[in-house]
This record gives sequence, structure tokens and C-alpha cells, in this order.
Amino acid sequence: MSIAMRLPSGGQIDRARPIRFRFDGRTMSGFAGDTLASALVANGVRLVGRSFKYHRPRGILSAGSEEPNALVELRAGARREPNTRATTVELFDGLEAQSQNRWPSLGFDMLALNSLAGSFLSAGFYYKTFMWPAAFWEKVYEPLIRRAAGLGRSADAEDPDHYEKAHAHCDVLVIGGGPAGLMAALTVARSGARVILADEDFVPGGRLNAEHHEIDSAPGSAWAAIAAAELASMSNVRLMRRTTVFGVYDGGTYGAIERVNDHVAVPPPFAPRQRTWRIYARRAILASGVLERPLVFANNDRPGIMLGGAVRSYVNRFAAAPGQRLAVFTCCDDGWRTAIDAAAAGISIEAVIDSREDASPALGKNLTANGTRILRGAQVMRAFGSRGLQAIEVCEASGRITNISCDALAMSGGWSPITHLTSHLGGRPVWNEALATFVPGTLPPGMSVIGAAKGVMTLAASLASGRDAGAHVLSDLGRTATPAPLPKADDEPATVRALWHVSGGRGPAFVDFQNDVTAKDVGLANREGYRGVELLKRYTTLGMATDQGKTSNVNGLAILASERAQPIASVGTTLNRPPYTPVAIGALAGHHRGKDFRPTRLSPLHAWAKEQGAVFIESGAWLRASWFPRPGEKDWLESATREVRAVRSAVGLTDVSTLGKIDIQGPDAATLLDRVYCNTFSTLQTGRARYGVMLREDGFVMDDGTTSRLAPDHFIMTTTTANAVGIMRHLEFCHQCLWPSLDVQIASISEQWAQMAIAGPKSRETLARIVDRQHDISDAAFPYLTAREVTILGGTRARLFRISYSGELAYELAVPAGVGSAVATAIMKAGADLGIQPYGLEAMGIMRIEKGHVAGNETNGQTTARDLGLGKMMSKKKDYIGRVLAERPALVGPDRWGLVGLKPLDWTVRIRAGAHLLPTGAPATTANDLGYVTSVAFSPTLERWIGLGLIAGGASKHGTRVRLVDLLRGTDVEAEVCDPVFYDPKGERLHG
Amino acid sequence: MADRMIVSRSALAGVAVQGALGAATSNPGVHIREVTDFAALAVIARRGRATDVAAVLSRHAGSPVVDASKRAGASNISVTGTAPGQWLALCRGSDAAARLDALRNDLNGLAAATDQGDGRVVLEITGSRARDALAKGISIDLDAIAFKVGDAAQTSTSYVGLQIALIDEAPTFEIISARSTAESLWSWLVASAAEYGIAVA
Repeated sequence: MSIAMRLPSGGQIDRARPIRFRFDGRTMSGFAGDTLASALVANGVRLVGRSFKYHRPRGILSAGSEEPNALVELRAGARREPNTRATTVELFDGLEAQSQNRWPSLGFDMLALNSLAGSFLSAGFYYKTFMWPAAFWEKVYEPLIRRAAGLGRSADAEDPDHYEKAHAHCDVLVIGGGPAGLMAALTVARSGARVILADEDFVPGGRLNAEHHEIDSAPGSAWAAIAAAELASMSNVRLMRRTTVFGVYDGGTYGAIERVNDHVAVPPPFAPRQRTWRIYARRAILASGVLERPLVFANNDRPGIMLGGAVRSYVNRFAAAPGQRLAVFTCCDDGWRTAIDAAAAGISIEAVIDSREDASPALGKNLTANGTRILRGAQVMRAFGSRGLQAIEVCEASGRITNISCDALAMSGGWSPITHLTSHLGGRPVWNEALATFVPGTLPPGMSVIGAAKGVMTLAASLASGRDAGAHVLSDLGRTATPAPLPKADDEPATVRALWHVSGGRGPAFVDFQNDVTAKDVGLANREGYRGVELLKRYTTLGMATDQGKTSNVNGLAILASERAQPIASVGTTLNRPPYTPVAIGALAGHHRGKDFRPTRLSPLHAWAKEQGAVFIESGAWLRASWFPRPGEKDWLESATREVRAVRSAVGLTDVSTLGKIDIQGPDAATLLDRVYCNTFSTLQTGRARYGVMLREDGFVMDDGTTSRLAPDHFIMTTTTANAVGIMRHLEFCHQCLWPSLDVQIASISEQWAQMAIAGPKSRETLARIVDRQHDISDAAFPYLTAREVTILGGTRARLFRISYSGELAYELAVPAGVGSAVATAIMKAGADLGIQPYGLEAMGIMRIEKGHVAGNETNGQTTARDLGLGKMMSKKKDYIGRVLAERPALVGPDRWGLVGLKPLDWTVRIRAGAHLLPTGAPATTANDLGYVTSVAFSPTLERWIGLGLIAGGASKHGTRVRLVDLLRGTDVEAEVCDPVFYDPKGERLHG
Repeated sequence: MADRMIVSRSALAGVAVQGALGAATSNPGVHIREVTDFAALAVIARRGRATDVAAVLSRHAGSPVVDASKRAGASNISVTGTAPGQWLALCRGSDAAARLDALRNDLNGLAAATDQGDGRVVLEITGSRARDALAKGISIDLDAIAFKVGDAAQTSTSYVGLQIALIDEAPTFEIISARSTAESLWSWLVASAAEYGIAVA
């Protein structure tokens, strides 16, 4: 198979395994071991995308995750993924990719007109241009900008793959699998310590795979492979390929993303696509390496202009030639290696342009023999060729301008340590003049930095720094390194003299390729007063977006420093935050999507309710039976109305298992209850239940419920469903922090007991059929507010409470959760001939409103016990939480909003919760607001809509008229204020 | 109407059904069993009586029970420290409830004991990939070096609280969690273990 730009030999590709793929609909082929970018290079594809703002044609700049240009839509349909860096995508059979941000085609892009308007679209243009008229922003400007600036399209169907999260622990996390990282990992692992080595690439070795280095007289890549194999064979090592450590967090935790199955078209069954790791490491060794800086000259973004190190990656690792006639533009020794390697691969080297007049002659000694032009003290002024480089204009040391024809240009601006992870916890990189770049400053606790990431730019020194850091970390952990010889390698020439900006060329000189920020924009920002580095970043967008300024930051800061005529060190640098490279939201969500977004709590009566045909509603984490539709019923109201009538006239059964249930035991149990409830419980007789109200420390109502005394030192408390966890926590706090001397034991038993209410005039008759005979539940033996342990159905342990929320003769029966559904079924069977019906949350809500019982709508954190008509419960004989602050003047005034009932004058009218209460005849303004409607229901008993509300003055307003105004729904109803107890105000039915 | 014994339903009845789940393999990496024949008692020592309670628990468990996050016991009874001065005693077998009643009697005056067995789901998870599957939600270090037989911890996965202990070196992990969220826990466990192949016992 002949591929245009594939070199005839070499590279770490498997020529025996060809791979077919499509780019923009064109079928091409590559080899196993290729990235999408290297395969495109090998196929002679130079134009791969359009830039963000100006829609300029762009090619591949780099060979790694720093790529700002070659962003593609990968895969198709539901798996389509925008903004994928072609340089990190492993080629797989059937891969499909599309260029993005162009219309109608990559070759001809209408919006490239933006480029002509470049001076108009300069830094800060959004802020300046789209100010007026303000109304245009939402309707005109924003949609236009969004269309023009889009970075690819996300899939419009649900992602069929799954993602997961995982945790890993180690003694030492080594970040980066280049020479220094491998050396450090080997040193640490050989001692037996637990090591995780995370490497972004699919082949460990880092730059060793892209360079012609020798280690121990063998190719560096071979040494890396052997080192990786040794690590992989050790049980104390987890070697994580295709894994990017993207963030550093508190306490030695690190975030990493593993691309488990990104290198195949479809993950194997049940295997995740990606996995987010949270790594807990006692120590971390950062061997993240370096990123190369582009050179900033006119039209430096033309396709075919590439970073020098990237050219070497394509030539040496992937056997792909970025061009046939290559020129090199450098300000450092490293650039010359590009020329030497490319020449060795048979690529014609047109020229080496080194901006340093005094660049060592030794650097190019093998090149001159081939007729390569060597220009020292020269600079590339600009590039020619729109959709692909055709020539460069060079200003020689003498000042002479020369045009050199070439189809590829390697630019080498020097290398910068990848300091991102060192600054995630606030560490600020510091300027190093000799390296002309920033190096890590204060490090996160537990982290050390080695190799090029630390500014150690040569191979032998890097290996030594890896070994030394490994040994140092081990001694820090109280271990000893196993002595081993350092592999032999050379230190290559690596001097640099920074060249930040070649001015004077015609055309935009790009600093940030991804965000289309030019050197001119940086100057403009400075002139307009955005002189701080952070302001520069926000104003120009330099270093923002997905690549976080990987290739642009240092150049941008240096140009700003030059504009300000200050040293770079004093201008400083911005900090980075996670993630280092983009992480898919799906990978962060992991398992938690769809129904698994959060846990669902199922009541022990869930199976029973399902059998009864319940319609469930999410109530917090619970699924609760809302109503039980029967054939012919048209809506919830009809079903709930029938259920209420069944309870009021016969008997009904409902699930109250979701209420919080807390077991309180010990000699001081009653004392604790007296202190947490505003009413008294120490006087409660054994075998009795009492309604209680708890206040917060600030005097407002916190929760309510019944508490029963099973034995002198044993109480069972119930809480509302919503506050079940919170009240348990509150009691633990009270016991552990406020009164640790109390001998009291508190246990949540919410999960243990299924609880059901059996309510209605025939509830006793129903229950008598399942309660074992020895337990007398007659009215005389088991009066209202009795609470006792009983057995049912022939020996099943149960707790029976004669309490009522519905206002009818009623009981609550608690049974072990495992038999909950079976007992409910047995009760339904026992009460069948008495007309028993299941009832749900809706019917329960209707009945409590008819009875004027408060619920969450009224105990909303803003109401006091007095507001709710419960003031008489507040004991004057004891202290309790909230007592003092409940007496604050603002909480006892006559104008407090108090609980009342509301009846619309026209009985046919429906009223709505949330409506405001206003004096009749007064305008509906905030100033006239008297309160609001908290709860409403259609009362089947009264056959009309009724409501509860909070009104200024509370009970003193009984008998007056108000307007219920709901401006959202557009209703305005006149109603009478009344007592909140609409049904059986004397409570006679409870005692039936 | 008496003398109708009713059958108890385990937290994962109809959900943790015997068979294979996930990737098809002759050698499943994860084996899961829901323990159904058990009773459990939460034990909280009265003030100053933790040592006495531990002694009673030790006698019943047949091995030393300490006031720490450890699991002690034999195959049919275990006692796990859940908080300072607090334990969960778990008994397996058809006489589980009766044996725990005997324990409750012996703890009278020393501790508050509450039945908890109906409110719990108990899972045993074993297999060569059990640790890998559990690491997808449980954040504590379950490596053999860090979490040894008899170690126990209160932790969570997937926003579901749980108690985990290592009961043998196979490794077999015992997970005890709340009944109401058992199906969500199951959903997470099956999703996490699926790639290794699952055998549900």
C-alpha cells in the first residue's frame, strides 16, 4: 500500500496491520500505532480545520495533547464527539472524523470572511461592538456569534457507551512515563512500595519514542519498552496507559481520566468507554515533561508550519513526513535536531534559520554537506500560501530579504516545563532566565518534580533526576531504595536564546492558535489598560478554552512584558486549574445517569403498593404511592377523592414507612426528649404516645411527630419524612456535643420497620382480625394515644399505635420491614368485606388539610409554634432548645403571620397554593400583602376547595374576608378566613 | 384469624436472582450472594459500659470483640464495631433471631439493643476481580496490604452508605447496607462488576 507521505521504513507503526479510516468523507489508510494526526500527515492531508474566530485554514501544529488546531468531530451519530484532538486519537479501523467550524466545506468556508474583518474583530470586540442596542443581544448578536464561533457539534442522541469512576491508592503516583518518570517509577517500585504510573500516551516512553536517543547503547524507545514491561510485571505497580492526570486536589488526591476504549470503534460489551480515577497518593512525582513554544511571526499559522518536536515525532515515531521540502526556524539548539532527523529520513532540508548569530557551528555540520542553507542571525518574517505553506520570507543577518520555497516549516521556540499540575493548589511558577521559561514554584504538598518538567532539559540528567527523586521519596516514606546502576545516556546540546516575536512581517502573527489571539491583540490589550496577566487573559482570551494556553502562554506573557518594558519575571504568569485536558462530563458522572442519577429509596411496602396499582411520585429520594387509580377514574383527583371517602366512611390503609423512626433508650432518655421537644415527655406514661414539636435554637419550628413510651427507659420517636436524617443528626449532636453526660442511646430504626396507617371507622374491626387474640384492642383497653408491642398473624412482632393523622379512628402498625408487604396484603384481605381501600399521599394530604394539621408547607422554617397554633405546647416548666429565642419580640408580635383556614366564597371555585392574601378592595401590591396560601385541597367531605394559609394577625382574622391573588396563574378569588380545622373540630371521631 | 405465619421478603427478593450477569465468561471475575437467612442487632453500650458489653459480645461471638472498626466472629455470628461503643451483631441461620434474643437478654442493663436485620441487605462479594469492581465506588483502600481479614469500615458507594468487612482472603467482602436503597446499590454493583462477568449465587 502506498501512502503519499509515509516514509519507506522506520517508526513504531505496525506495517503489517493497515487500518482504514475516513476524514471528511474521504477514505484513507494508516497503520496500527498511528494517531489520526500521523495518519493524516502520512496521507498528505495538511488542511484539517478552521480557526475559532477568523476561520483561517489550519493544519496540525503539534503531536500531543497541546494541539490547538487539529480539533475534529470524532465518530458519528450518537457517539459523535466534538473538539477531539487528532494528535491524541489512536487510529482504529473504521474511524470516522470530520473537520469542524467550517461551512459549507473545509476548503471553502464562507465565514473565512471574518478574516478580512480581522482588524474589526480584535481583542475585546465583543465588549465594544455588541453593546447597543441592548435588546439586540439576545435576539441578534448572541445567535450570530454562536454560529460563527462554534467549536464542533455535540451528538444529539444519548451516548450509548457507559463511563465509570474508580478509586486507587498508592504510596507513590508517578505522573508521566517519559525517561524521568520511568526511572523514578522503577526506583520506587523495586523497593516494594505501591506505585501508580500514569501516562497520557498509549506507548510509554514520552519523547524517547520521538527522538533518536540511545540509552545503554540501545534505542531509547527500546529501553522505555523494557522499563514499562518490568513495571507491568510487578504486583505492586499499576501501569496506567492512556491516562491523563488532570487535576491535583487537597490531601494528596489526584484526578485522572483513563481512555479505556477510546482506541476502538465500539467498546467491548460491558466495558466502559472512559474511567475517571480518583487517586490517593502519599507522594507524587511529577514527570510531565515539556511543551514546545511556537515562534510568533506573520502567518505562522499556515498549514505545514509545525512545532519542531512534532516534526520529529511524525518522522521518527510514525514514519510520516510533514513535507517534502522542509525549512527549520529555531532560536535554540534543539531545532537543529529536527533538521538532522528529517534529513536522515530522506526529507529535503531547504534551510535552517537560527535567530542566534552565534549558534554553534557544530550543530549543523552534517547538514551543509547536503546543500542545506544555514542562516544564522536570521528570522522568518512571514509565510506564504493560504491553505498550505508554499514559501517563507526570511530576513538574513545582513538585513537582506530572501524568499525560500518550502512546503513545511519546523519552528522551535524552546521548551517550557508543563507546570499545570504544580499550580492547581495555588503554586505560582517562577521565571528561569537561563531556560527562558517558567519552572515550577511552590509545589502541592507531597509532590516533587523531576526531569524536563523541572527544567532538566537533557536525557542523562533527566534519568538521574528520576532516580534521585525516587530514592528521596522512598526515604521520606521510611523505605530504602534498592541500589541499581543508572542507565547510560548522553546530555545533548540544549541552549536557547528566546525569540518572542518577529515583528515587521505583514499578516497576523498568532500567539494563541486556538483562540486566534495575535501579538497585535496583546499589544492592544496593554494599550487599553489590561496590563495584568489575568486581565490580559480575560480581555484577549489568550490561554483560555480547552488547551489552557499550552502553546501560547509563555509567548503571550513575554510579549506583554516587552510591551510594558518590564522583565517577564515581574509580569508573572497566570495559574492553571483542573482539568489539564478536557474531561467529558459523562466521565465525571460515571454510573450516575438516568435512573442512577441518585439512589432511589423504596419503602418496604413498595411491592404491595405496586400490586395495588399505585402511581408513584418521587418525594426526596423516596418513591411514594401517590394514589391508586381504579378503572374508569379519569384523574388523580377522582382517585384521591374516592380514597378519602373510603377512609371517612369505612377503612383505608396507607404506607407511612418513610417517616423517620428513632429508638431512644437509657436512663436519661426522657431528659433528652424534654430538652429537644418544646413540650414535656418525661410525664408520658409507659404505653402512651404524644404529639411533640421540636424547635430550632433560633425559636422556629424544626419538626413535629409523635413519640411513644414503650418502657420507662425506652421511647420511639417519629419524625417527618423530609427531616428523618436531619433529626437523627440533631439528636446525635445534642447527645455528643451538648449533653455528653446523659446516659442515652439513640439508634435509627427507620429502615427496620414497615409502618402503615389503618384509618377509618372500621379500622378497629379490621385490625382485630389480624392482631393476635391475647391483645385486647377494644376502645377501653386500647384508647386513643395508646402505644404497645403486640403480635399479629400468629406471632409476628409488631408495634401498634393508636394515633391519627386523618382525623378518623386510626392506628399505625409497625412490623419488621421484611414482612411489610405481606402484612399489608393480609390486612387488605382481612378488611375486604369492610370496604378497605389503599390510599396514597394525595388522599393523606387532603385529609390533613381538612383537619388543619400542619405539614412541610407550614413548618417551613419561617414559622414558630405560636404561628401554627401550637403555642400552648411550649412548656413553661422546663428548659428546651429554642425556648429563649422563641421569645424574641419579632417572634411574638400580634402581626405575626399565623395559621388560618381559607374558604372561597364561591364554593365552586378552585384555589391555588401560593396565592397571596390581600385586603378586599386594595390593590395587589407588596405593601398590601397579608400572607399567602400554604396548602389547598378539594375536600370530598365539604365538597369544596379549602385551603390553609398564613395571615398577618392569625386567628384574630377569623371571619374576615380576603382576596387570594395569584398573579402567576392570573386568579383573584375572594375567601373567608376561618379556623384551620374544617372537619370534626371537636375531635370526636378520633375517639370512636 | 391467628396462626397464619407470613413469609419475610429479603431486600433484593426478585432482584438478586441466581444466574450470570454481565460479560459472558466461563470464569466470572465477581461472585455475589445475597445473604437472606439472618437477623441483626445494633448494640449501643450504656455510658461507661463499653468494656462490659464487649465482653458479653466476645462470649457470644466466640472470639474477642474490641471497641474498634473490626469484625469478629465465626461463620454464623459476627460482631462488627460500627462506632465508639457501638456494634452490629449479625446472626445467620434459621435460629438467628432466637440467638440474638439470648444476646439481648445478656446485654440487659449494659446496652441498648435494637433489631436491625429487616432494615439491612447483606451481600457477600468474592472473586478475582472483586476488588476492582468495589473500587469503582468505594473510596477506601481495599488492597490486601491495607484492608485485612477482620477489618471493617463504614463508608459509602454511589451515595449509598454501607458497612464493609473482609471476611476471608479469597477475598470475600461482606457489605451491609440499608434495605430501602438496596436496589440502587445492586444497580451500581452489577454495573461495576459487569465487565468481569458476574455469577449471582
